[in-house]
Amino acid sequence: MRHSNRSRIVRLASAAAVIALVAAIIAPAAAFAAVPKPTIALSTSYQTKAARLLVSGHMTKSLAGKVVQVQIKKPGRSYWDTLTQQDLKIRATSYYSAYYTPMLAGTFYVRTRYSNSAGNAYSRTVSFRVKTGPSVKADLVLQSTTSTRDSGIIEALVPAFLHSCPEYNFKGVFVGSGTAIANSRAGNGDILLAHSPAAEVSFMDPSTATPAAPYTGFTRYKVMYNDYVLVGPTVNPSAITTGESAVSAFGKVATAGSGFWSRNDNSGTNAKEKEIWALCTPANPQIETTSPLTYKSWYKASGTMGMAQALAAANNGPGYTLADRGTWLNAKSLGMVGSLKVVNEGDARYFNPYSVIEIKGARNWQGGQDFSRWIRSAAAQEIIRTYGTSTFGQPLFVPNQGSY
Amino acid sequence: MNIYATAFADAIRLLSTADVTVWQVIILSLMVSGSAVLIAAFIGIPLGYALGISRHTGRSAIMLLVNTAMGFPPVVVGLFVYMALSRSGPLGLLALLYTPGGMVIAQVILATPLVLGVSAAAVSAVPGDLRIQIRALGASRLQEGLAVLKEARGGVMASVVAGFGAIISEVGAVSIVGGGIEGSTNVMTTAIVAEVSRGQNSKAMAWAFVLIGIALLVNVVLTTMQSTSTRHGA
Repeated sequence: MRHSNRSRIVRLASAAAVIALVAAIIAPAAAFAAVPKPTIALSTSYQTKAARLLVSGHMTKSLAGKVVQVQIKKPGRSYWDTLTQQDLKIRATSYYSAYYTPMLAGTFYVRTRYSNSAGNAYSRTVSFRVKTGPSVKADLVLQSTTSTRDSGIIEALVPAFLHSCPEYNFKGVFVGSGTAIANSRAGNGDILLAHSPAAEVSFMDPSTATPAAPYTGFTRYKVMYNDYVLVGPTVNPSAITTGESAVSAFGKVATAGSGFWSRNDNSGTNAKEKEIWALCTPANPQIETTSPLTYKSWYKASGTMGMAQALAAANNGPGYTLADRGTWLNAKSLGMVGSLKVVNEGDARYFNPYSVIEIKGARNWQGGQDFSRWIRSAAAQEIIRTYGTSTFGQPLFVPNQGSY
Repeated sequence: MNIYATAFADAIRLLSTADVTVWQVIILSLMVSGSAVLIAAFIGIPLGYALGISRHTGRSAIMLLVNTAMGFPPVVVGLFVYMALSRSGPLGLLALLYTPGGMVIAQVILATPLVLGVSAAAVSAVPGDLRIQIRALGASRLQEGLAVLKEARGGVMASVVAGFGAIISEVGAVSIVGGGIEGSTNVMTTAIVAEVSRGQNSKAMAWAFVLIGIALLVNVVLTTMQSTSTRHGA
């Protein structure tokens, strides 16, 4: 009887072990089968010259209406990019497809990823080879602000970018932030680098699209920052001190009626300056009447002046103006602003963040994606971190790449 | 006066350093304005001839429109062309924005009324008896037209010179349509504006002297052609 008791326990234990073992094998397999795997096929695996090819496949289960992400690894890159800007929709027959035109020569790797709550499933990785790249490089239009050009940071970054991504013909259009965003809304930019946060947030909102300006932002990332400085005459008639708050400094400019030079062009600097004027008490002391909009005589709102010109005008005046530190240091080193000095700085309101924004449906969205990724990479951030130290003794920008 | 002297010296230095970017800008200016004035001549001279010899009642109204078009601000033309070539505009698919091709289109629109108007005035100054005489001698329409244009060649050349002068020196259209992109769409006038907005007035003046010098050179060439043709002519 003792023998049969022990053998029963042994039998129970072994049965439990077998069940546990089987469950351990089946359960992950069941979980694995729970996420449907995509298949993938390319229309061609070798091209002598870069031409459009078709990437297609289907899901192992019928999943019409869901999305898959097709990933591509371009030659010389170590990371996966997306084949299309937005994820592909699976059709009613559980089939998906997309056209792709390579812009480089080399071997490309492509795979598809399907994600649901159970996890990610990848198709097998296929590759295709392009023997020679396209004869004409694709244009990449960067819409950016005059401060990035005039401080020289773009000139420092572009050669490194083109070394990393040589398939583009870089075209930088440098206008005020407001104009850059307006140009991007009209679809005339592939990537946007701006420093006007309120306007950028509005650009990211798809509901702000109009039939005349149908494009809006796709992704927005931080790139770098610096600060604004209020500059004024060395004599300083408004008796502003460097330590006081921005709002009280602007208030002193208003009450003393000292000349203030405004760019009046919807640039980032103009937006910041208007933001601070609105916080003074009473609000907007530089506006005489709101309708029609007229300014007080001491507020010089030109509309055609770049930052350096506004500094030269303030120097000539003499008067006050708000400038970003990069252009201020540059102008000072060129000897253009002899009678001006920094009268107020350091307030948190003077924070000047730069963001890089991809545009949904841009003509060369791939170039935009590459630029956005590159400018946030360690190499570019290092260039930004050290830029200006040799010429001005202090770095002009502080890199702070990240998401919002 | 010292500022101008230093700017002139800077201009000579700018050219003599033979910087490839400087020559690129100069060559692009000449190519854009040169092709634009050639296309404008191709369109404007035949139409100017037709307008010059016509006698119908609508002639003065058309002349009025042409004279108004001659005075179009280049910025306005640039704005219209930008909106047309913009990606959300009617011709967006052509992808001509921020390219020299788009700049040529804008400059053709600026130069054609000038070429047309001045050619029409030159052709209408040719005595009508000449046309009757040529036709009586058995000339075809084409031969008649060429003879009248040959007679009016002084004025027709002047129209091309005027067209070229107007477009090589304008900045509004090329800066809006081209974007002044360094390396691809920067011409002399947009380089001047860029240097001024950077506060580099002396460098801007150097470019200004270069522009004046180039315009002078081209006009010397055209005027020499004009005077040799009139000398060898009737």
